[in-house]
Amino acid sequence: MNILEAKQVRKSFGSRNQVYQVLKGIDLNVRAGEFVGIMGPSGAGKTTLLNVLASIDRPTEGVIEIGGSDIARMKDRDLSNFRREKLGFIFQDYNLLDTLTVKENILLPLSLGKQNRMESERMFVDIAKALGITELSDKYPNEISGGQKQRTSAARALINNPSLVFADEPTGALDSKSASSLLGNLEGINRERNVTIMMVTHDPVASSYCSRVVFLKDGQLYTELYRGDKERKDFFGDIMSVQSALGGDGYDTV
Amino acid sequence: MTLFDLVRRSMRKNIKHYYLYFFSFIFSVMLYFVFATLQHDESVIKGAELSLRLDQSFKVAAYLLLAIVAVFVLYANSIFLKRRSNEIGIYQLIGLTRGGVARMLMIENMLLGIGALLVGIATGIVVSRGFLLLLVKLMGKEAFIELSISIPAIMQTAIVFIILVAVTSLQSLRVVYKSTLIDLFTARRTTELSKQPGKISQLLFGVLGIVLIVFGYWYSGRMVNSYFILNAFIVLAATIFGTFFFFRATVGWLLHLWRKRKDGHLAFRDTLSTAAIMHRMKSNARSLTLITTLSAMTLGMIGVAYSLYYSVENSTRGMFPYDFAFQNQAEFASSFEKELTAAGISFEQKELASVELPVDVAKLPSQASAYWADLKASVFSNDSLEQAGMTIVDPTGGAVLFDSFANSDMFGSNVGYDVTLKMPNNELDITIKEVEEKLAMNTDTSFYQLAVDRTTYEKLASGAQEVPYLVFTLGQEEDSKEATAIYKKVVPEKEQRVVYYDMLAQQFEANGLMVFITGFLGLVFLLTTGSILYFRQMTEAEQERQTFRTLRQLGFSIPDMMNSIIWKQLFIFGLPLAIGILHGIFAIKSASSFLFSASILLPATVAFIVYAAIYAIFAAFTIGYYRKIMKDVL
Repeated sequence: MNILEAKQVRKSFGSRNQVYQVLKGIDLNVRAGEFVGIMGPSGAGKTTLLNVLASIDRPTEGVIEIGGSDIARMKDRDLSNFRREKLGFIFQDYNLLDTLTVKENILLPLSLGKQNRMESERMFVDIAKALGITELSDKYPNEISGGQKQRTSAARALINNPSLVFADEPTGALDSKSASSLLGNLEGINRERNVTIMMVTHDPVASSYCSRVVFLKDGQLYTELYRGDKERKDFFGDIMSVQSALGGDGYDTV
Repeated sequence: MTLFDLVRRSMRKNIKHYYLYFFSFIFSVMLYFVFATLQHDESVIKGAELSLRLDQSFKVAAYLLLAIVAVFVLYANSIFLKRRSNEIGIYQLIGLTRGGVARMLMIENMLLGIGALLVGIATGIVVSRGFLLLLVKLMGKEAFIELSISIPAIMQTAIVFIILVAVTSLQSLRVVYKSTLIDLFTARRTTELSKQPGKISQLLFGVLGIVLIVFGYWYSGRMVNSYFILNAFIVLAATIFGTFFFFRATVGWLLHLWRKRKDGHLAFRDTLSTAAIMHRMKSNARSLTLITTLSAMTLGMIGVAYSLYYSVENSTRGMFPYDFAFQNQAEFASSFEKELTAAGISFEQKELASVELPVDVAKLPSQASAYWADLKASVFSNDSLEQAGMTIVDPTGGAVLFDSFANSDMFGSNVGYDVTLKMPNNELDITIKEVEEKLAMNTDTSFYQLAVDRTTYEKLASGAQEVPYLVFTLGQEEDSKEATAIYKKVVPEKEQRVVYYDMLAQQFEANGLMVFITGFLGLVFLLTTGSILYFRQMTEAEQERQTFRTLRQLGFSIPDMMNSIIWKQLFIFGLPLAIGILHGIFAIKSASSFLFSASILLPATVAFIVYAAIYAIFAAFTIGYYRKIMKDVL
């Protein structure tokens, strides 16, 4: 079953006489339970694609359906509700609220909701345990490390069991140890909880945790790789070779 | 590109940030100029000479205004500098020397200051006429006010603001020379993080805050004795420090308890309000205390002044029960009567008599500390007073004392104490049964006025000369002017006594001026505190941009977020206002115990409502600014 279907998505910026097309007609389907990585050189349109798919930005043209509803045609208010209830977000620089404790940050998506306190507490305990941040619940973001912040951010994205989680360079600000531990967590959650994740990254190591990697070039799909039953190491090799072929600035062809 | 080009370009580019600073500068110049104009205005000077109290109030007001304007301009400049710190850093990063940046800022500041001074004085000239008209109306005069441009006022304003521009320039220099590049680049983002509260010291300070405020309130009702100045100082210190601790510790501690009970399950409304407030409580404590104190001062001042103004008629009538009174002047009275009749003025004429006797009042509490050698009392009989239209308590078995300042007696009531009336051959001790808060007869002497029953009166009158009075009360107040003119025509100048209507006009003039001064200062305080809160909130809103962006990405809608922000503003604006009003109420209450007796409820309520309404406008502006930023972030 497809959780996300994007058809001929285009996005251009600029005024009438100087239009710059960032996305040039992208078709992409994501099935439930997939862990999709989006890769590509700088300027290929990765983040724009993610923003458009995540309803943070509106496409210039095209249809985007998430769980059967066409988000390009939704009103702002409905779109907000949709994002809050159905989607989860992990950002490169965490975007935790400094004024809230770890626990309050994680429970934020439930703060408008109808869940009773017992149920929210159960959801919090579950996700905090899965990400190993139970001990931190009363700390403020400025008291914890980057890796811990990103786990908090992930917990916030996952707490309300979203149908789709968007992650924009989640490991971009982390050291390699924190990064691999976070990715391990995401991979585990993807498998055990069957959560669909879509992650933009330029790091081949990060994308090797995915079940599929989509390559963008100049605003178009270039190719995609499926991991299948491969070991992560082998998949990493495949990704590296595509990347060398892709070339483009920002990559060293090893 | 010369430095001057740079200045021109940066000013053009920065106009969005400048306008705030520019307007607050213009606005301060304008208000200061208006006040200076009034200070140099003939009619105001004459009005202020009416009493020492007024004259002094005017001077104190001028200093207060100067202080508040200076604080405001410096504060606005510091916020402005903070907003521009990034830019200042970049100039240095691209190789401008510190001296160059400093010169640039000085030139900008000078251009800005001179511009604001010119615009401010120009608008001041226009609006000062309006203020003068309002003042004249409050003072109950009908004089025509011509608009003359006051040169001394312009000079005074120019000097004050040139000094202020110099000080703000120094302030900018300090930022340029004392801060490192990294300070400059992070200045806009820094939000100090409050340590988690809940420590014992915070609890202690929290309790201390409440104790100090309650003590201040309690003591304010008991401060009227010979140590008045010291007491007033104690009350002020207790409430101000109490308020500070209240904001700094009590509020944070209460919120902390509340939040702890939530155990992480905050409602969304609390995330942008309560959590954000707790986050900045420490740095906000000082400004909230300042604002509360200024609000309380303003409300207290205006409440008292307006109440006095409001009760002018009552209090004057208390001292002058009859429109005109003739003592021993039967021939003047009869020609006055004839003239009034001839002029077609309706009036009532009554006859009264009193005995004047030396009196010993040493036993009265109100006289405990005063000593008067030759005191005299005018004693009336109650039936004659009633005949003249006055209702008083039955004095049988004692006496009724008339004292229009009864309320201001610092040493308690005189009821139950004895006075000794000295008749030529013997003395009579008589007990005060009741004190009436008015006088029985128009007077320009300091005689005590007593009422006794008919039998006692006859006994007193038998040994002394009776003083006859003829009193007039007009049928219609509109005739007062004409009647007063007739009185002055009929009675030779040195035989004239103070007339009710003259006194009323004088009282209106004095109290009107007082209301105007306090109202003007109040307006300045209000606009200043409102602007400071607005500026602070603007800065906070800027700092929270990223938070708003994140929340919108996470799927919180603008109405949800605005709901939370409105709560925050309710707290930020509402709490200092509420506590300021509470302080103000106690200030008025303690002032009313020795200043006046008339009803204060209505005038004080009106003053409070007007104050709160103007305050609410600032809150609305702030909320509007937040909405703009929220729309802007995504």
